Amino acid sequence: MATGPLRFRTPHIEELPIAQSRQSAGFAWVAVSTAHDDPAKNWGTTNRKRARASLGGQTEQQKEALSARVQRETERKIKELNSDNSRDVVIDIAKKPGSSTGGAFKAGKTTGTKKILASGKTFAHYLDDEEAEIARTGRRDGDADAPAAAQRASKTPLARRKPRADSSASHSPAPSAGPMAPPPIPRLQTNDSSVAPIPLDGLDDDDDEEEDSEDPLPRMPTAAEMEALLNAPPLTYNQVRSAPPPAGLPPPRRFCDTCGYWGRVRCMKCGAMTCSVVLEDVRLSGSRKVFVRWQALGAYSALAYHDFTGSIWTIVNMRITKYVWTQYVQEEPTETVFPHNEDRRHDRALPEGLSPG
Amino acid sequence: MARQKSLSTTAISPNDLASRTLILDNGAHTIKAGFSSHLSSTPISTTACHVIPNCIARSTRDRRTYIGPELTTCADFGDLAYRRPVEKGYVVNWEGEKAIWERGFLANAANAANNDESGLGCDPAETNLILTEAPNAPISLQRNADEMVFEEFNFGAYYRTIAPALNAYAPSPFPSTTASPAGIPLECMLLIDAGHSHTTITPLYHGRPLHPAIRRLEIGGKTLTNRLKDLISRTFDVHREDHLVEEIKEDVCYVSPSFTRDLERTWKGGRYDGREVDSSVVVDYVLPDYEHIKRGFYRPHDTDVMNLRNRALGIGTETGRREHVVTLGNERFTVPELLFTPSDIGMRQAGLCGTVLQSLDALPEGLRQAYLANVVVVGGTSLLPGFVERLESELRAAVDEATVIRVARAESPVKNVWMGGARLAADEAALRAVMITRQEWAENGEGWVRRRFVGKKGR
Repeated sequence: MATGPLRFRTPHIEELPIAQSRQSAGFAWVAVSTAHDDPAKNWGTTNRKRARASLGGQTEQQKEALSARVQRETERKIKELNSDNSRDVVIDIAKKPGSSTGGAFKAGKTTGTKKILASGKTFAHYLDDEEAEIARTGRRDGDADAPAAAQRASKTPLARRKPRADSSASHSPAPSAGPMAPPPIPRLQTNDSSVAPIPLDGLDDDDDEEEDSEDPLPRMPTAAEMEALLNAPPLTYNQVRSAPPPAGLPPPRRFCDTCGYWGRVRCMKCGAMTCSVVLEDVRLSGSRKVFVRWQALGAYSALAYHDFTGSIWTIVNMRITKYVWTQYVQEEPTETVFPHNEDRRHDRALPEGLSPG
Repeated sequence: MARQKSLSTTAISPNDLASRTLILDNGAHTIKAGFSSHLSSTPISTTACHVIPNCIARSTRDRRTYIGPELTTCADFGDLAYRRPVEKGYVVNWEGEKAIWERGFLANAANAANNDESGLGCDPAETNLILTEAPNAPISLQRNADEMVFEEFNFGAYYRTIAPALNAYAPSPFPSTTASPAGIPLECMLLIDAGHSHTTITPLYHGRPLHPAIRRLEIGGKTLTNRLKDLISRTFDVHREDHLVEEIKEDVCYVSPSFTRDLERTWKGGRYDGREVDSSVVVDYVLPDYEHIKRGFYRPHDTDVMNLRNRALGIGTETGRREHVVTLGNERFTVPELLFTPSDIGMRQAGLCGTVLQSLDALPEGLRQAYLANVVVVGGTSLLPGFVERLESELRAAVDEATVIRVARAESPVKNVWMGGARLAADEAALRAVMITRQEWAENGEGWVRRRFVGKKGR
């Protein structure tokens, strides 16, 4: 009843015979374990990615799952780059010798400060607490009339948000009293242009009505607008983050993992970019430290190169070269470590006849 | 100690301000600390500003923990584990920060000797404090800072501000702007603070920040150092050597005006088209071993491979020392390139130029020209050669031709915020307008104090 092997791997599902089952036309799920089952599409690779690609492509769902994983990886790497303490360091602050009050000093003078000194919260905790509070109520920063509760705490940077209706929080709740204003404010009443170091003339005369088609100067904001701008409440941490660049720009640039030049070829198995065949060899050999070679590795990397040039002669050439290199050329182990290959070294099996190092 | 009479026109409560002000630019990498007084008339210079590493470092080789300023006494920076109380620009770990402050400048019996040397000892009750923090701090962190300053350290009066705002009081780096006296801020300034944890863009108007337009790019000196660590570790594992990689970054990295061109120059070529590497760009960095070589240095690339081995063994070097060399080619400029193209590592944020444009978009149209003509760059990361030129050329390409663009770096990018704070503190009227005394804090509570710091008046 099978209509043919399925495009994606599924666990083996077997239809159990029930007493009243009828012989009806239909279909049955058949487990397809490897590409060997389908000789038409079999390239002889054990490479799952190639097999997946050749067996008709992925569904949307699978593509999405893949890109989500990639995205999570990059985000993790970025967070690592931005981490403050490079490793989990626990450094105790040594007790100061000769401090007279000893313990009391250390712990803090009031209950409030004791709590602050003893708290082990990290910045991420504070940020989450603040986001939670904003989501629950309006922003508690002394803007007594909080913005409309409909405005959820959002992690989207401001530049990417769709415009919302103006909230009331942009205006200061209390008017500025005259004598309490700091010195800079009274200068707002003066001419904006008189002290400006910019060579723009006639700013005050510029109105909306003046339509100078050659050189229309944008309108300078009025004193009230400036006042509103200055009194606007500070934004939250997440709102201020720079937004992604507008879509439509070229995609992010990829570089070679080994040397840093433009990445031109991509490894099918792990997605690392390399700039040239030479460095692809270097990368695969695991950093000249432990010398492990196996022919299957040679095969798929040759295939990767094959995609690039499309010439069979090249494959053969490469294979032989690699084989020769494998057998007879060894390099002394040095102290280098390629973090990329470090964790995958255990996966490799040694073919017979070759020993490591 | 002489005290000023309180002026009746200001709103400060009858408690007087102390005569000296301690200005504390509390950064994630270093603290810039120094005194300024509104009573003295001596001009303020940057020599009064002391730079204190804001970290607690533990060295496994020495089995010692260096807190704050003690790091200058460290002889062996190898394998030094850092721990910073300031995370992402805000003081999170007050226990560590307190230890560093105490050793740095709070008068303390045990540290009296230290303080006399650096001239930074002070009694908090008789000192005003100007403290800076990064913009957009979570409220609880602001509250914690206020509470710590008043309750724990017992400062007499206090002003907490965002770091970019103080730059408006520093002398303008543009040669065409007339110098303003201390205490009067510059009118318009678009401040780019390229710091350790991140890069912030703050438009300032008369020294007050325009909050809706502040933007932050999450790439800072720390990101660049970590990225350089990853790149160097491809050949030589330096993941545990923070100090060393920072030194390498400061010595060797630069911002390239044309990224593609420089990248071509440092490529060794493929298998079939090998090339000569341009040795004006590629350098050899000699690593310090803290015994014979105390500080790393670099020299032009030596292409002879045998020399590399010889030098590592100590043959052919001066005094027969063993030199271990790391070759740095395109790492020199791909690392700072991150500031302008964060998508190189997959970060989904616009580069520095894009973030500046986002910030300007949040301002009224008429102000764009004003701010583009007054772009000031501060922060340790801006010391990279070529930074200002690259920023200017990118802005120029992104903005209308008729707009005037002036970009300048402050004379002392690291100490500029401190300079601004010192000049603010030197002017009594400006100082009185912003300071909050302990009594006011006790009377009005922390919410009122916080609003005052942001600039809102009234209850």
